[in-house]
Amino acid sequence: MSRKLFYIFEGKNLAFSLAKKLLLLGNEVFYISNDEENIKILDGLKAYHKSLELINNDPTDINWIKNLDMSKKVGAVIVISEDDALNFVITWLLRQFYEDVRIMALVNFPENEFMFKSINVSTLTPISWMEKLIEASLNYEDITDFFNPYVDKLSILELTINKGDKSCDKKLKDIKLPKNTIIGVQVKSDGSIFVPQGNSEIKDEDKLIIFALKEEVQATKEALK
Amino acid sequence: MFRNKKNIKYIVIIGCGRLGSELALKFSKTHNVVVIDKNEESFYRLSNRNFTGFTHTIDTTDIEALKKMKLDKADLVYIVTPDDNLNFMLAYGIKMMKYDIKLIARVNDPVKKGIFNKAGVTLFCPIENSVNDLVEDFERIEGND
Repeated sequence: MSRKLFYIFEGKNLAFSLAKKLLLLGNEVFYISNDEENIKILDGLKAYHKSLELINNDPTDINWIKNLDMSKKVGAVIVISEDDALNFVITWLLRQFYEDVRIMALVNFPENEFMFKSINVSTLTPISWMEKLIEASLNYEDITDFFNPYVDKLSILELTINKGDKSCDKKLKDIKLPKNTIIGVQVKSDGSIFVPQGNSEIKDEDKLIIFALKEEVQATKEALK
Repeated sequence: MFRNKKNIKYIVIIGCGRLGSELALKFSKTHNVVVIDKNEESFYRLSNRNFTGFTHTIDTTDIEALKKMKLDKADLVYIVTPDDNLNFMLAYGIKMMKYDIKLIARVNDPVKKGIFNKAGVTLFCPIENSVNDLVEDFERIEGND
């Protein structure tokens, strides 16, 4: 994984764990919070990780946002306070100045998600995840762990296929996937969902859920997109 | 004197603090007013003061719940909670519901005005207005000396 810069805005223990993980993977992390207590939480990481910058600043300061250093290879900007309104203002401002940067936000109330999506922000909604987890474990007793317990080795990708992609309008058997990769689920644009076979055809706007070993992720994307 | 029915507007006020409640009392004399706040106790400011509108206790951070209040039918929506970030998010969400809705948002921190202006949200800033009034008064007094 090449070294990237990640901006993390706000958040307490979640920000600490996320920053630690990203730093261990060799990335650079800039953490920004208006709350000195939050800065103190992450300060412990600085002793071991020189690539961590802690910035005590108002993250809704329009002039400051405008002058963020985006010249480096930015992996993502991640906004994870417990306040949806604060997260929305930050992400909205970021989007005004940085059209192409990947922005992710924690959305604590799922009903607010549509506003974030309208400005092209990826959302993390723990309540929705938990609902799905509970629903799955109630309906199917065998599914007790909804999340990927092998996250360090196995990736579960969700790719949307569009017209012009290598796999669009092709049957599964005609696509050469890298080894240790399998398309597990196909979701059609009308919401219908099934496990594809060799003769299943991939169409425009289909979503594919793919299981691949970490080292095959890039090759998988290249084979399909 | 009776008012012309056509002049009676449907006004929604989100936030029933000191500002929201005074606004509601004033408007309810001549218009149909609905006041929304997440805290039922906030409505005590309207009690025993001849408020003739309606009150609703709704979580103001829940835009879906606000949708049910027929905001799209309102002639005017005032968003006057003490939280600038919330006021911005609500203004944005309500405008997504109905783009041409007449909406005025309160901005508590004058520094945050730029964000609202950038999004094209009509705003008023009580602190800035008060400062301007005080400075004008001062200049008038100085001018008379």
